[in-house]
Amino acid sequence: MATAEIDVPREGLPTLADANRDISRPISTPYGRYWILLGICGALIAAAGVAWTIQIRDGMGVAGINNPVNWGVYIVTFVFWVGIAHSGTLISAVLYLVRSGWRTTINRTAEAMTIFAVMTAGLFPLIHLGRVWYFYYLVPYPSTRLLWPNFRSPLVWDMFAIGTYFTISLVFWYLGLIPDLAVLRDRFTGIKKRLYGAFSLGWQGTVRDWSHYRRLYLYLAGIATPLVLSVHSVVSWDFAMGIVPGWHSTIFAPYFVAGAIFSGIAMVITITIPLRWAFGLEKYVTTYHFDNMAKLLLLTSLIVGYAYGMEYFLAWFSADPIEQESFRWRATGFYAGPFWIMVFCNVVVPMSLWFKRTRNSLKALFVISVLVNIGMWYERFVIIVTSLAHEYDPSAWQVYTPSLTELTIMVGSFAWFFFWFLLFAKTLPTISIAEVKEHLAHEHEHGNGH
Amino acid sequence: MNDGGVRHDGSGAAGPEPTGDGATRREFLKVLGVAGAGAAATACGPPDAGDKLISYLIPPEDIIPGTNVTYATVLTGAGPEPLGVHATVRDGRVIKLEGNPDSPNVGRLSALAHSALQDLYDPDRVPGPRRRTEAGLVEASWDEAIAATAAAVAAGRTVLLTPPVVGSAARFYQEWAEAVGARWVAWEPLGLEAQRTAQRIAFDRDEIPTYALERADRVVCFGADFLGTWLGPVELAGRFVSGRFVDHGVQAKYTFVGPRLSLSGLKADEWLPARTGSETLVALATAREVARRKADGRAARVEATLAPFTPEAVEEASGITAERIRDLAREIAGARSPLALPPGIAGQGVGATDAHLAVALLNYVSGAHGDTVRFDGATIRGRHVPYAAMAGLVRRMGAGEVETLIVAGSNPAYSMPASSGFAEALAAVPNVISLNPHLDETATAAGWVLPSHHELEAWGDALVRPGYMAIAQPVMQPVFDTRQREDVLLQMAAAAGSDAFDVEDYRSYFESVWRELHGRMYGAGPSFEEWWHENLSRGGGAVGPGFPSDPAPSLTAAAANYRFAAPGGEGDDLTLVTYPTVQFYDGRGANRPWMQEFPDAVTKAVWNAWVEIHPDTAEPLGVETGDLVEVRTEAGSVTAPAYVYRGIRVDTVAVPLGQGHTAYGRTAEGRGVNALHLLDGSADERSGALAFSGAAVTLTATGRSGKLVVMQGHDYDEDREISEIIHFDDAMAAVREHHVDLTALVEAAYDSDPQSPYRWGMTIDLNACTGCGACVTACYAENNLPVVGEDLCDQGREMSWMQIMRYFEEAEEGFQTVHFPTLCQQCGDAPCEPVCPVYAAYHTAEGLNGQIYNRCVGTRYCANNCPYKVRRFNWFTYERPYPLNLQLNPDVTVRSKGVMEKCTFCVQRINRAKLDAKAEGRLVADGEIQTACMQSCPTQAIVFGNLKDPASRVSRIAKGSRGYRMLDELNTRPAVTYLKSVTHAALPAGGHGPGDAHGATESEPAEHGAAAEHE
Amino acid sequence: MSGILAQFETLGATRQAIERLRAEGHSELDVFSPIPAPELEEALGIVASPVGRWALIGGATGFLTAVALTGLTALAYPLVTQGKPILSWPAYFIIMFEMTILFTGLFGFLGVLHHTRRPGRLSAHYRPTFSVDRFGVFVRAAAGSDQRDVEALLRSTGAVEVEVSA
Repeated sequence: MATAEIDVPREGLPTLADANRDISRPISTPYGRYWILLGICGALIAAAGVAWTIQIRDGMGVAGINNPVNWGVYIVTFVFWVGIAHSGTLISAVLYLVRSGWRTTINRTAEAMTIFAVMTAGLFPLIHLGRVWYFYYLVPYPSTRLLWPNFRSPLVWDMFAIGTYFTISLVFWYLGLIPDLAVLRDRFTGIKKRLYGAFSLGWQGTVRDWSHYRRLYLYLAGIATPLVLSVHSVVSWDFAMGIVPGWHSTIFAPYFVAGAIFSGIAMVITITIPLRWAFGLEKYVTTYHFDNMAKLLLLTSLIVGYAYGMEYFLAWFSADPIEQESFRWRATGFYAGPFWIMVFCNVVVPMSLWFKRTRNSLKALFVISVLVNIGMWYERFVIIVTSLAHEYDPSAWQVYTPSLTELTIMVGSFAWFFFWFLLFAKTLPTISIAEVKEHLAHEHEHGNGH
Repeated sequence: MNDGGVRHDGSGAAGPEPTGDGATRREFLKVLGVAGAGAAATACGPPDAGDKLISYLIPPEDIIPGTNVTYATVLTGAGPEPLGVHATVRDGRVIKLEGNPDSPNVGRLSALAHSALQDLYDPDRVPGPRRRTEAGLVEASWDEAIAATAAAVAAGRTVLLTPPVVGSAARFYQEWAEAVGARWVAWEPLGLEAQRTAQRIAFDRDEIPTYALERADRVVCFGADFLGTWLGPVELAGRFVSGRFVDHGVQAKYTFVGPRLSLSGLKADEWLPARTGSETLVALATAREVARRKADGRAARVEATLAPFTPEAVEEASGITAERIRDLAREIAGARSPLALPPGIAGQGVGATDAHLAVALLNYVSGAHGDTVRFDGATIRGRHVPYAAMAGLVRRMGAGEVETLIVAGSNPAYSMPASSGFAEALAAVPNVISLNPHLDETATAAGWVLPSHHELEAWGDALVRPGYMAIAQPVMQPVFDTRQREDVLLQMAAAAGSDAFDVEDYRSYFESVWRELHGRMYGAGPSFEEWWHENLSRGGGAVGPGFPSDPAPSLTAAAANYRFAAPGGEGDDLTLVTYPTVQFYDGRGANRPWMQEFPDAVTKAVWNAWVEIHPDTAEPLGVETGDLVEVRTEAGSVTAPAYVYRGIRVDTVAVPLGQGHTAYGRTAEGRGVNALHLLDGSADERSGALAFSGAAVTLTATGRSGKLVVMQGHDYDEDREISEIIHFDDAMAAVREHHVDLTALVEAAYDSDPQSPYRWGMTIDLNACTGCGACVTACYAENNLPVVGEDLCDQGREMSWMQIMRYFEEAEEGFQTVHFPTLCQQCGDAPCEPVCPVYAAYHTAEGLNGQIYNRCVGTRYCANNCPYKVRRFNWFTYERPYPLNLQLNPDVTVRSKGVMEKCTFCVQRINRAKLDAKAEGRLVADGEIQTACMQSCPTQAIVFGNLKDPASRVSRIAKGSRGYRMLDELNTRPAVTYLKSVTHAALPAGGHGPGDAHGATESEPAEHGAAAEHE
Repeated sequence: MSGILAQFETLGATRQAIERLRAEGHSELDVFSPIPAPELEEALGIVASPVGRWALIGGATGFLTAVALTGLTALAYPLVTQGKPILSWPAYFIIMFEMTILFTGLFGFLGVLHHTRRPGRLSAHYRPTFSVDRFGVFVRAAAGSDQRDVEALLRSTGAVEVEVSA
């Protein structure tokens, strides 16, 4: 595992016992604020639930979508959350493979985020279904009349990709948690002890156990990396496989993956900053980590910006007037607003990260990451809605504005995400204790070694 | 067309003609059975078929469960012309109307005629006799109703007000009036009195001539909406298009003269935007020039009369340059068979008779008179009193000289301008008796409401062309507790003590009339019974020779020396044009959901009335489409959303008729505005015809924006291979060097299972399509399409499987219009299919894009991926209030919320035909299957058939020189081939549309208009 | 069973102890560690974990399952869409890819559970400190002289705590 690059301030270096204590402190002491936040999330989720119920009762008409814009906020938010889900596994797996030690203190949070984001994203394909009570038609099960789903449909690919991604991320996350659960088991007594004990599967950390553990961790990192890339590629094909001008493009897979990492990192920053402050983890999550994430943010922002430019280049280069008109309208038509918000948040704002001062100012980083999240939501809106609203047959051109139902459900999805995240922050170590201790151990052993 | 069900004449399933020869006594008795039930079912309420699947242990002969039975009958109330129909009856209820091939409409129907079903099943019909009390309308029994009304009639000074009728009913009303000492007044709001008057003056003949458009090679129309609402649009549209059959080398050049491009105007190759009311001058000036060139005997007779009307003289008043008039005259004079059509309703001003006379003179000098305008096969339309006479009636009513007014099938309280004071006068009439089926504006003022049968529930007949009488027979039991109108009158007369009629009901009355006709014709010939049965099963029969008359009666001296008003100067104020639309006509369509949701052929607006103004008029007012504007005349004012339209003169404002009902039913009430409120009731002094146009108006922007739902996102196809139009010469060149290989298959034919003998395909001739929308409504009727209402239309959630896009194409001068019917293209390489996760969308063995409603989960991906945007999603579950649901076609699933649906070429008809063919061990024959849209099309623009048969009609047409496929570059391999529209107008090199992409934003159409209006 | 459990505070000490014990011929060692420690694996001479084989088998299973699922269902329910062949392998490959990864991960996890015999109860020699910062070494040794030598050895290598279980 990574050792050399580890950079924890030398003096006041915590002991392994400190790590145990500090990292699991939030679990033992409850905060008043916490319950308020949890309550707010619960309320918003309930509101969304009501909205969805009404939609199921009355029909999709309560949403603002129409013909030709058959997909709206639901699919936009779906893609947004799938995007968010990408940072976690990326940080855990890819950075693990390339031995960037700085991931250690953030990968647990990132992975949790991934899982909750997928759980959120997964709701939307159901919510947007005209007859959700028949959702199981998509599942390949042996029905009495031997009807099967159509494996040529990108939507079915989606189901498999996201299902796999969720499962593998969960395994990956849980594997990382096992030693920490053991720590908690040994810290607590009574019901907590039994609970954590059960989930730790009786982990006792013999060296032999560790060897199996490390080996699987490596393999999971290995397969999770192509998986990350595949998932958002598949999601992008929901559109790229379509004939719609503005969708039908070969750059979509890399374009979407970059965007996903971009938004994912932004979300990690958005969450880690308040978390670190609330749980007093400054000792473990330092500006050094944020600086690295900021650099990653900058890099992906450049890729995304390049993709935006490339879309326009391709439209021009294709010499297809319909494609060209579609993109001209995207920037100047009814949806010019969202388009320029997207450009500003995703391309202009992150440029400030060229400066170390910005990267090291948590306030600035927080604001930027929030803006990027907004920008990325609009990116999906622009791609999906503007393309559909301005298609081949001019007489069918029609614009779309989201309805209250759609917005309620979208807000509810954020509440749902943070609800799970709050539960996680309260019940599980938000930083991988084992990994932190590993580094500290090596520091103590031969700290002067480099 | 018949679905291959049991034919009423029992002649079996063979042959495309649903009815005809060999009616037997048994067949006839079936009809009587139905009729008897109709007459006897006094308190039956809904028909049995309505609430039970199969309602009889032993079903009556004429109801074979699950099988369509077809009855021939005729609709006289479905627009300007009587239309012979075949009513498809399923399990005792009529579910579809299709044209009767034996009638002048040769098997075609109009949108309004299709919607007669929604009139029959209108939940707002009066369910039974009602009496008005202080407490409002209360139920009454027929007996007391008859007794009470008979007493009123017996009291004398009775007026019977009906629409114009031809056939036995005319005679009956006359005799009835005499019997009870009443006065019979027949009135028609959109009448032909001006033309009759002009005809009488010109040729001393007052019947309406036939217009042989099919023979004409040069057509000029002075305002008549002959493809939409004038005289006989279904018949005339057919004739017109056969005169423009490019592939046979003919295309009559067609010029439209008038201030506003109507549905008919949009088809014109050339538009002479004459100022409102100046059509007369243009016609006279043209006639003068033609006469000068012809210099024959006819010319000589009218030379003097026409002399003052030089093109220069009329230039200023008409706004048409002398040069253009000369060009027009030159072409008319040079034409083999020119034809000038008179002004219609929209062109009917205070000088209406003069206008008609002027056109008559033009036809006279051009040689059209007696050639393309013929009096030997005159068009039969019922006679009626002019508006002026109605005004007289109003005066007498007001003066209390009318004791009892019986309104039977007419709604003057709505269709008389408010300025006429009819409503007030009506209140002064002690006994008002309504025999209308609805609680319309007139019936709501009536003391007695005795609802009458719908046409489809009643007996009757109508003279539809000289010597040919169509028969109307009841095709089902009455939906409500109603009675045949004439029966009610008979019973009144009897109760009033008259013994003039020795018949027990009207059916036997008019059968006796037929006996008489038969006697007169054949004497001892074939027995009446046989003759009658045959006519009944065919829907009518010959009742005598045509008019034994001269096709070209000579011009009277009066006409030859007629004094036309001298050309005036230019008036600078805005003038008003009000016009009927195909969907509402005189307002009768307003309570039919299909008609409210019918996108107007010109504006594509739905569920409303609007004010058409020119961009240059709108711009200074800061008005855009949808903004509320107030139109004010001396008579009154209306406030409605504006529609900015380049097809109207800068100094003209147009408002459609037929909306703004205050009664009549849930769908009609409070929709739009009634343009009649703008008319001051001034009439043409010669004929007494109401002036529908010419009033001076002031137009003010209210600053408020209203709601006008326009079902057309953008007016230009932006050169995208969608609506194609080419110049006549190019078309002819292509036709000449193009050879159709009868052995070659159309490309799309390969897109079905190689084992299958079929690949269904369609061709749509854009040159023939007039945008009348009959196909759209036929589709609603055949495929159980729901009506979604104004708001959902506004959100782009209309459910029409077939839509007619209206695309403007730039021409060197002004613009051309292409009506572009879109429906599912049944692509061979369909983008919609592979994206469905559950195979709800798939490709059938016969090349259709199947859609499995039960399997659909509603991802809507298919709709996103359809480049033609013809898939429709059920955003809600749409209700049909009883008894509208009785019209549902049992062969087609009724879809519920969350399901995607679309056109599948009436697959239920395909399957039915295949079953029939299989039973007879053969393949489906070419032409055996007609989709609902194809069946209905008055111009036969749509042809459906099997592309795997290289010689089938559809294959041959698809291989024609004008064929192309929508958005072909996408390689979706559509099964629908469009034939390019053809025009005589010079087109810019570029072809269509203002090519620059800037044409393509939401707000632009108005700018287009402004940019392109440089006449 | 009889043996000696020693606790160490540092990796180095633990490693030293292990090496010397193995030199003395004590190969039956249970070593507990609060952190993943490659050094100790090395010292114990642990060869590569067989978990990899589990993953490989899983991957193969997943791939073949997907081939069967997509191919057979397409043949069982053969509907044409957009003129594509009934067996549209390029499209189906995406399913195969995902299923491969899914099964690899799941089988790998099962592998770990199998080889670590988890879930299961804690060994008698486990001490809660092992999840904090202590390393534990348990040596099987019969009571008597042998036991004494071992204890001496452990203490000399810096064991902070030694328990003898008879």
